[in-house]
Amino acid sequence: MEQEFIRLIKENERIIQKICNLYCSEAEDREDLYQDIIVQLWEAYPQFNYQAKASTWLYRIALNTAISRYRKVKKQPRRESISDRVVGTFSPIEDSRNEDARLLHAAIESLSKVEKAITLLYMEGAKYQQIAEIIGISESNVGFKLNRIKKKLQNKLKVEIS
Amino acid sequence: MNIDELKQNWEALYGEQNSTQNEADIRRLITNGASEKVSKINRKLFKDVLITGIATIVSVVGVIFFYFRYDPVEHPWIDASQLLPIQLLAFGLFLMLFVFAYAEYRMVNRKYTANTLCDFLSATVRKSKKYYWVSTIVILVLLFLAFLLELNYFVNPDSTIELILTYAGAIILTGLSYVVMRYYYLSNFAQHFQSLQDYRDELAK
Repeated sequence: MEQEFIRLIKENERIIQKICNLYCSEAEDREDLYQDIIVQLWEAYPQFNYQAKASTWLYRIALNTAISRYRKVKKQPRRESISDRVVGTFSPIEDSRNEDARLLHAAIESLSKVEKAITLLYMEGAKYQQIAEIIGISESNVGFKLNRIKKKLQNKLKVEIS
Repeated sequence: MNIDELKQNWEALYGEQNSTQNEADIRRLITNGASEKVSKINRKLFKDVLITGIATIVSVVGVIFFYFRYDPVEHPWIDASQLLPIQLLAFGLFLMLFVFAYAEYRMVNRKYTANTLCDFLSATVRKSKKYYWVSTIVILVLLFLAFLLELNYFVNPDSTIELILTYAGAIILTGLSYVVMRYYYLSNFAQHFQSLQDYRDELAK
């Protein structure tokens, strides 16, 4: 069972990494969240039915963990954030791409944790039905929320550009 | 600029691989049942829960002993009428500390395996509110009784005014205890609960 679980984690590692990157800007927090998600997935693994889609199951538990986990807020000096790191990796030739990435990051940071979850699933190509299944809302509500998020992001992008 | 046009930047921003866990790390994590940070927090919380739990039990045993077993004729140097309220007070305070330490332990070690995010948030908010109010009321009743007994010893009310003063004093002291409890709750849990409620309400909209 352990071996199967580790294989499942390795196959879907990209999903966990993206959730950690989206919800934590500090490297230490990302590492902590990554570990938390693995522990929670292992707790839920005995109930996992292989007939269900692994990614849906994984998204569900990983997002529950990322959004709801309890940690006392500690004030720490700011360290390298995702945008710093990503922006720093671009060469001068890629300046426009660099700027787009910075704008997108600033816009996404303005979203609430729940909106970030819906955005993540949308950007990852999940269908409305899958998003509804993971979040626990109706498909029509997913469409409504996505439209609102898109508008919010566009407004934020306009502000950032101007 | 359309959001859908930014998908490639999405990949660049959030798709980067961090230092991943190897098989041995994952095996160690699932064997321990907690992440490294949670294990560290747990050791501290476990100590708090243990100390306050033992103190609560000791104070309860003390109350039971002096109430049922103690013979004032055989041991006249112990004034049980003064000792009992102090023990009750200690019990109430230790219980309060234990309840908060245990609440924090549960919060840190919560399982996030509920069906959907919406279900999980609703259940967490509902259970947490219930836990908070039940424990607060039990502790306040205990503290009120302890304060009343203590004031009764000092004031020794014979007239109606003195009796009213005793009750008023107990109510004021219980109120002050509530303020302390509320402050502890606000500084430790309130922000977290509020955000969970906000997310739940946001999903319900």
